Amino acid sequence: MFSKKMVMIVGLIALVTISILTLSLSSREPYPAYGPGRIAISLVAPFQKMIVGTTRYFRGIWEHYFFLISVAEENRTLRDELSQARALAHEQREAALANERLRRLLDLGKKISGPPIAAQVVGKDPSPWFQSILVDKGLADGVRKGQPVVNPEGVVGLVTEATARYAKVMLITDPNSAVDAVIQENRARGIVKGGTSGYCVLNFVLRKHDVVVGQVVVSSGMDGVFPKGLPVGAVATIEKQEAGIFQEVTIRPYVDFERLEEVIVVPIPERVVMP
Amino acid sequence: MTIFFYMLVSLCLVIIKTTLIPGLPLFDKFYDLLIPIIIYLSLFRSLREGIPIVLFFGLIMDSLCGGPMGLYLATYIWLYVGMRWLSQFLHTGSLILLALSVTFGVVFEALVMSGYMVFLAPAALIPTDTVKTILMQIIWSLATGPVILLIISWTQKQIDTWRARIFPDLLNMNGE
Repeated sequence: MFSKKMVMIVGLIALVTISILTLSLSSREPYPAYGPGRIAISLVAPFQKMIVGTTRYFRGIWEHYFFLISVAEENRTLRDELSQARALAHEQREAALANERLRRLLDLGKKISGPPIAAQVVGKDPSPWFQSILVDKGLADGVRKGQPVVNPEGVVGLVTEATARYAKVMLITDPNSAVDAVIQENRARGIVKGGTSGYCVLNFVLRKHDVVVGQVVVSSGMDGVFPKGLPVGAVATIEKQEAGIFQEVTIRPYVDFERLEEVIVVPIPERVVMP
Repeated sequence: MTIFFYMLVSLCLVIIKTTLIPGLPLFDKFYDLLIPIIIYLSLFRSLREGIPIVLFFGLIMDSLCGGPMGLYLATYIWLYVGMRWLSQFLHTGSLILLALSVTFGVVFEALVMSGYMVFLAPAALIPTDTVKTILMQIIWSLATGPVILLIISWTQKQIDTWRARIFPDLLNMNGE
């Protein structure tokens, strides 16, 4: 009844239409609350946690132990004693660093309403096109979709999906991210959007505002998600076009996303949590 | 068995990509390691084996990455269908062609991602380093694509040999 060519053309048109329709619909609600996503996260995250833990352990040994041992080889007679002392020093140093980080997290927690949830980063986004991380706290720990995530340096991102024990966090450097922010000195308002490469863009800053490199950008609290006054980053570049009412401002986030290890999920009132 | 093997491999690759590779210098813009597998499946394996694996790859990536659900799934299906169609006209034994096919896959994925950012993403910005990302991925794919394809091909041959050795034994045990 139908030729093979006709069937192929119809099939091709149907496939294109389905692809575009599906992506259009899922773009409106990019993070489904239920579905295979949670299964995959639950499947992969424990292994990620194990590998990250092991890597950090060996990296710690490499950076603080073997490297120092190789320097100390000149004095062979003292090697055993020295290595023991350094191993102990390494342990103490790691403990002191962890203590310092956790103390800062606790200090930050005092500024946040409600009990903050400290979480460890267990994995990063497999795609270079998006910027997200997996953390080892989930629904069972009180993490909910739409909650902001911070660390002592500043704003980290937003919870976009949560399973029982893990959660996915969209970083502020993700192209889909948006944080309402102001420049601390002159209160010029804008929207911080992800630009990747470790930088963000502060959109919709009016030309009339005098913006200077190095000025501090903080969350405005106007988006109803991020608490007001959290540091986001510092102004890195400013570009004013000949025409137009806005200026282009690039900011360098305070958070070092390459070395992010611990974060705090900030509880917010239920009414503003995304459905 | 082949399907199970590729699912296991994909999970391992995704875990490596999300834990170890981000910490390595120069590897932060490494291309999607599932692309060579999809290309291999489209060029050398049957639909019965290829389709479930491609669907699994898409769902895993969509679940773990920050993009919308269905983006990687659609990309992988299109790549699989496209390469399968192209294989009718190409000499798939050529190493140069295989290297180029991985690069083609990388560029195709980059175009889909960019297209998503431009046309479908709600108020998303195109990443400022898009060109750099694509160039780095092309270089990486040209350098490592053929090697990865050869490793997949060799592993697949080992599996096929292993399976051929096991199944006759099972058939004999059943008296067939």
